[in-house]
Amino acid sequence: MDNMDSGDEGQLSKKALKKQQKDAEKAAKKAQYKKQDGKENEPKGDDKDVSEGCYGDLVMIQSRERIDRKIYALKELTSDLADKKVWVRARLQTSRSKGKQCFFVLRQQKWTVQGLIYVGDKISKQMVKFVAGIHKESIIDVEGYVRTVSQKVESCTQQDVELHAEQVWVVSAAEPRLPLLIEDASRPDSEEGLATVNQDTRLDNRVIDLRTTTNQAIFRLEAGVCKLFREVLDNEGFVEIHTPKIISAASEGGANVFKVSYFKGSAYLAQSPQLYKQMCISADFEKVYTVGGVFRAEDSNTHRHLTEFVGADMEMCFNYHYHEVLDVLDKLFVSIFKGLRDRYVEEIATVGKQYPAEPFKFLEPSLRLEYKEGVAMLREAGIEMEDDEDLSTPNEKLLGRLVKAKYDTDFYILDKFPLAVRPFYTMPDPNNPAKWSNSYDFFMRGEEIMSGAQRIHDAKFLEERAKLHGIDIETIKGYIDAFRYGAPPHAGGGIGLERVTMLYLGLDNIRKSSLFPRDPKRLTP
Amino acid sequence: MPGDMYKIEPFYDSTAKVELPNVMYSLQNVHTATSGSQASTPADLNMDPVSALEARQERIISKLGELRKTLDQLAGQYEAAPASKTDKTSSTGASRVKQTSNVVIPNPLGSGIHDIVINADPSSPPLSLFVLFEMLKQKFRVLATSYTHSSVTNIDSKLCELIKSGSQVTRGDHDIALSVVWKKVKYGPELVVSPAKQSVILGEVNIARYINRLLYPGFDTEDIVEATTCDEWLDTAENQLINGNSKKRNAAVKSLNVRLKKNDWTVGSQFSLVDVVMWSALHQSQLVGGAPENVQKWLNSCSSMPLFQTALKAVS
Repeated sequence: MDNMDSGDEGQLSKKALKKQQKDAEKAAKKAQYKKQDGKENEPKGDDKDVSEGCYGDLVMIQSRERIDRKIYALKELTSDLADKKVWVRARLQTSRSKGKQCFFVLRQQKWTVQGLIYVGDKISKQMVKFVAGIHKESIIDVEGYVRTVSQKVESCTQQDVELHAEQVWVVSAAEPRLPLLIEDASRPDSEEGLATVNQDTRLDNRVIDLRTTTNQAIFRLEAGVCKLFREVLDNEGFVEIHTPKIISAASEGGANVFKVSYFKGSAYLAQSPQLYKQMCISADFEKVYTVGGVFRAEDSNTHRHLTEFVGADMEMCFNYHYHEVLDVLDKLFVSIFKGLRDRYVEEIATVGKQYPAEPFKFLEPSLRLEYKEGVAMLREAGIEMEDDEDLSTPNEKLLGRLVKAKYDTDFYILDKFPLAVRPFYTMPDPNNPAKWSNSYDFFMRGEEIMSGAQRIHDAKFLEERAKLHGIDIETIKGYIDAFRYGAPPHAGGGIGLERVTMLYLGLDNIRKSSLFPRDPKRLTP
Repeated sequence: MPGDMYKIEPFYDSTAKVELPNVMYSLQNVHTATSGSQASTPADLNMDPVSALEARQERIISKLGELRKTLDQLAGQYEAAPASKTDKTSSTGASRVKQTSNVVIPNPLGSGIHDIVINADPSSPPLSLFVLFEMLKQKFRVLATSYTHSSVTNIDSKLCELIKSGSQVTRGDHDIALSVVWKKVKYGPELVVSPAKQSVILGEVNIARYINRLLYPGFDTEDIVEATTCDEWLDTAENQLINGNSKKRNAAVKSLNVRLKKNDWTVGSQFSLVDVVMWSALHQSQLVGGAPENVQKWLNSCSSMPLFQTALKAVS
């Protein structure tokens, strides 16, 4: 028994001994770690944090002093700056801490660079912890060395370098909880299973949504459309005019206008600069264009209607034939498309990553078909319609597809519309004045983007046409009066900037190409 | 039952008496042998197996003999066929084969403007197109426009000027709208008229055929012999010159040289589509410089025609 006991005890004690030994080893290791840790953590107590003064929240910049310091833009960070110490100011897109180091991505507009901070001689553990804890989307100042990397940083635009930080200061902190993540908002819809942000959330938090590289590219391209529009027309000898937006009567037809209170009475928001463009023609400006807000009180919630949009309109006088104007418009569009194709390659590619679309195709000169040819093409495809029937939206789309199949172009002009479907001020065709008119529509990817015509410049004829349309002459007296004192023959048209951008990029919703869209259900932000 | 198959014993005893209920109407027993389908010849049944087998063999041999006879007959008919055909051609050889049936060829243009779209590569323009364009202009009111596709960034502006006629202002007054779109094409030039109804016409030669049919609706239906010769030469141009290797090209030039020794034009006594296409094919395959004598002479007489002036501008 004793033996047994002692044996048992012996065995147990052996196990216990082993256990004790292990525990002791662990404790020793722990102590060692603690010691090491203690060494590093010591500054807390006795010594200073080695990184103190190299990180923290910056005092709110209130223009106290003007520091003479070169701040580099992220796009400048290339291998040319290798091993140079630079300052940058950018947004913290993401950060990921891993033990003694922390990787973070800095973003500035569409450029991103990878940053890295790790515990070292000058950098304390607290500092790394601080950097890892900065809220996403905060604006930070970083000083560090630009280092080339052996393997390309695939996730960033600056692929050849990364930034090894030595100082990190928070300039403007973001709230810890973001209503949407830039990462989610930049994701293509096609990536299933991962979070995407729906349209309304985006629009409610437009300020954050607009920070995505896709949106940065879309609005740069939209600015490009506007810039090219001005550039081309300026070269053609046009004058830019600014027309009033508060008007006394409806400019076109009368329906769909916003009524606003105007002191004791009421006024309307301009639905188109049409009348004023034409008045300037009567006032001998010869060629005018205008870019500005246009308001439409249409209660339609479609992918392509806004209640307020930017209209780019032009009007010019011609000598004998309205095709002189059509040629200018043709050249205008081809130049805009070519300009976009050549100058905005990067933006188009960026947008294409999130919203893939076929590249926009066009011909130079633009394809010009007559309305009846379009109708013939539709009939051939099995659509039943009259020669002078208006194009319905589905037929418009179908015609776009037919034209694309035959001519391989996303842009074309349809000339000579039926008179019956155009407004009263449209000039009838000289050869068949009852049926056709001197009017034209422009289409992009099968959707109408511009509707224009030769306008009637003869006051008497204008009155006659208005009467035929059953319009009370008194209500449009101001319009007719503009032509009583001699007016040159003229024609013109206008585009919606948002719609052109949307269709050029092949986006599915006009809200994507409007900064702060206005529709019947949205007035904010 | 046919006797030339083996016989098996019935595995079903159809004579067995079965008590049938009388609650429903009665039917004839389907398994009872009827008089029409007597199982094999009664003689076979009585014979011993060896002689039965012999009898069967005899029957098969006689049937094979019959088959042989029929075949011989057919062979005779087949032999006779080509002989009669040769006779026919030799008799009609002098007076050309004409289409006898009066097929009315509908106006290919239809009503309204006939819009033809031709996609072609600006770096290797189909030269026959320029000649055909001139020919179209002689016969129709043509509204021709050259378009540069957005996928092409640098193009010789000269090329766009060559195919241009009519004015958009009077677009509706034209018979034909010829829209040449200069862009990269994968499989050679393409012609599109109605994408909804018709497939794309591929290749320079087929495009030439299409346009020639607009010009002369009966060109490949009226005179069958000439049409076949034309087709042969057109195929030579397409397969051996435009798309061929140097060996095929040299062979084609050689045979053309032989042909032109006795004739002024490639096919028939008059200038035709074949001359246009051959001229274009030779120019495109860089064979003009080293062409043999007869071909050289023919090339010169082509080039001196006013129809070729636009095409010559494209070459230079």
